[in-house]
Amino acid sequence: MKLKHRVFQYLIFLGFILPIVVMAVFSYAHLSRDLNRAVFDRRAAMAEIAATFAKEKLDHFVDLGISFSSRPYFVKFVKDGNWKDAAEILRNTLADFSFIHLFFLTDTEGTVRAGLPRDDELIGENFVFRDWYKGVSRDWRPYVSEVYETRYTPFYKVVAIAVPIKDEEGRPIGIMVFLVKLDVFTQWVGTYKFGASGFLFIVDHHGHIVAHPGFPPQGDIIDFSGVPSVRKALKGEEGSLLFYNDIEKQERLLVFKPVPHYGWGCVVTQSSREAFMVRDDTLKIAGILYLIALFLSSIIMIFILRYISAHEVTEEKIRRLNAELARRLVQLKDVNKELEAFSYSVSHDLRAPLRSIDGFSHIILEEYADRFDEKGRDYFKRIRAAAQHMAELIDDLLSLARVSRSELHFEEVDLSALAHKIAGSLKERHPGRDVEFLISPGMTARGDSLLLEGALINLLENSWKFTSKHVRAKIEFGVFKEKGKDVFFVRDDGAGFDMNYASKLFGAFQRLHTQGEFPGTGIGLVTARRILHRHGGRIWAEGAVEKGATFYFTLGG
Amino acid sequence: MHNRNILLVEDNLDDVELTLRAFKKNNIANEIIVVNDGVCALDYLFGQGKYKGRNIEDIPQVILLDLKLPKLDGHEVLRRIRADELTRLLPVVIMTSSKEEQDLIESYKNGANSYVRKPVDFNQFVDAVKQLGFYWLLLNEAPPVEKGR
Repeated sequence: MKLKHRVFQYLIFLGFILPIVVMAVFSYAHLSRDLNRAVFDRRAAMAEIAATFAKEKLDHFVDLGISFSSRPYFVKFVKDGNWKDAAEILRNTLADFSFIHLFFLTDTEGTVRAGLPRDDELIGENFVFRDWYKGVSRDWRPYVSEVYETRYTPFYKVVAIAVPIKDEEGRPIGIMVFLVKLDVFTQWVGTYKFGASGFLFIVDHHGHIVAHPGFPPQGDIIDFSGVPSVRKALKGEEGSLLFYNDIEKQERLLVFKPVPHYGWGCVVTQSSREAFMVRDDTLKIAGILYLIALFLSSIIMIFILRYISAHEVTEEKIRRLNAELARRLVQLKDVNKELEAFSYSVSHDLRAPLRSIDGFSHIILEEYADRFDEKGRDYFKRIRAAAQHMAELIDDLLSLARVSRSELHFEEVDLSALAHKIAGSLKERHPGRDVEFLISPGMTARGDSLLLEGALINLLENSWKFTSKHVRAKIEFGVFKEKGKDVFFVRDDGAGFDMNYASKLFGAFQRLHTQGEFPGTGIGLVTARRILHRHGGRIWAEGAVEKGATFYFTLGG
Repeated sequence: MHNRNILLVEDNLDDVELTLRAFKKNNIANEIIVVNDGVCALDYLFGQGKYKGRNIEDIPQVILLDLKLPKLDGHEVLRRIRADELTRLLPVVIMTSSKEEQDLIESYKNGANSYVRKPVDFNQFVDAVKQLGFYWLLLNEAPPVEKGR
């Protein structure tokens, strides 16, 4: 029963907590995913901006080259083989573009014809091996080269922008090349920083670093083609990955993006710890909040269950007690029924033999008296007396049983009037006795009138009997207040009793006198006491031998 | 109609003896029919069983009915007597040892005419029978016997 109850409680608890746990886990996962995506999206957006920006930058260079190379005079000079003049036309214009480190013109075979600023060493040199020549000569379209080192001191690391020079029919007649130092890109990439560890780097189509804030622009050319993010970007893919950097001893988040059209790649990178810091902090707080919520709701649930189970236990207890009470009541009813059957049987069956004993003894005395002597006749008289006494005993016992059993009907009872009535009947039944009754007027009490009369009869008859040896007697019935309660008393100046035996006064069949002194059954006072007890009252006695007795009693309520 | 029977329903033979003696002492000459249980009492009244063929219109003047009886108790006998047209007016005196309130109430409810408690003291018993006889046999006018049932 108890175990079942426990299990039930656990089930309720789980049923309540489990959905909360599931919800918490679900929303935690959801939040984690959202935050994660936000991190990646932000980086992806950055990479996108960087890639777009890089493309625009290169477009700008190329556009510049096209605008230079398509000037009519310029084209005319090139066409005429007047390379020097062609270069001179652009001298002033080029001065405005500080990022152009070096400028020269080659013929379609890649041999330098003119350069700006004038570099005589350069003229006549052939650059067919250069990436830019291979690129531009492939389909005679503008081309941005790989990173490379120039051949002369101080061996600048540059990117070449090669633009074909075409005549009116669109035939290539020469190549215009300008070199941009990597510093230009590095400077730009250097401004592109976020957080403490976030930066952007750009690689050319071979995976060589164009710009990386961690490397000096004029240092060695660095090959990043083996780096996974770079490899992917160069393959035209875009995306992100986590990469453990052995040198930095930390994981980095890399978001890569190809630079459209030019085959270069952009990579935005940041240490994972930093990139995910906000996410991790938020998740940490969310996790703590969820745990607190879970903890609180568990506690609340436990309290609720405790409360309910305490209630249930109490209810269960009450139910059990009620059931027990009902069972007892049934038992009591059974016992009462048995008692009734018993008293009935006593009343009926025990009296019949007595009647026979008495009756036939009487007949013998009547019809056969002459066959017995005085002694014999006396014995028959004793038999008859004994039978009658036993009948009285039976009657008294039955009335005692009735007193205990009968229902009480409460009403206002005039005790003074009852006492007068009983006194009158006693005087009538026993004329010739000189007994003075002193009954206080106006005594009333709440109780069952029949039973109270019974109690009074027993008490007054008791006094009447025990004053019978006195020539004159006085029986008093009165009341006084003690602690706000009415204490009634019945006092006589009769035989009295020894206080040592006071406790025996109210025991069934207990007698302080012999049958010869005062006849009786020993049940009268017991009956009176039981009646008073049933009214919630009590009775006690005071007395002394030959000094009379006083019976005090109270009624409850 | 003066010397109609008295039906005494009593299982205790001692009581029967004492009752008969009390009647005799009181010079009551009516014939007293004695039956020892409730079934016999009804058999007598309704002319059945061993009383088959008896003239059932010869109704007793009074029935002295004990309550505690074998087979059918006094209450049931009384109920049957009251339930039958022929006997419903028949005076029934409950004569019993019991002084129980429930017996008294039950008896009067069932239509007993009188309730007498047999005293243990034989003198009182004789006195009681004397008064019963005086009242029910002399003073009381018995209801007319309804014929043609």
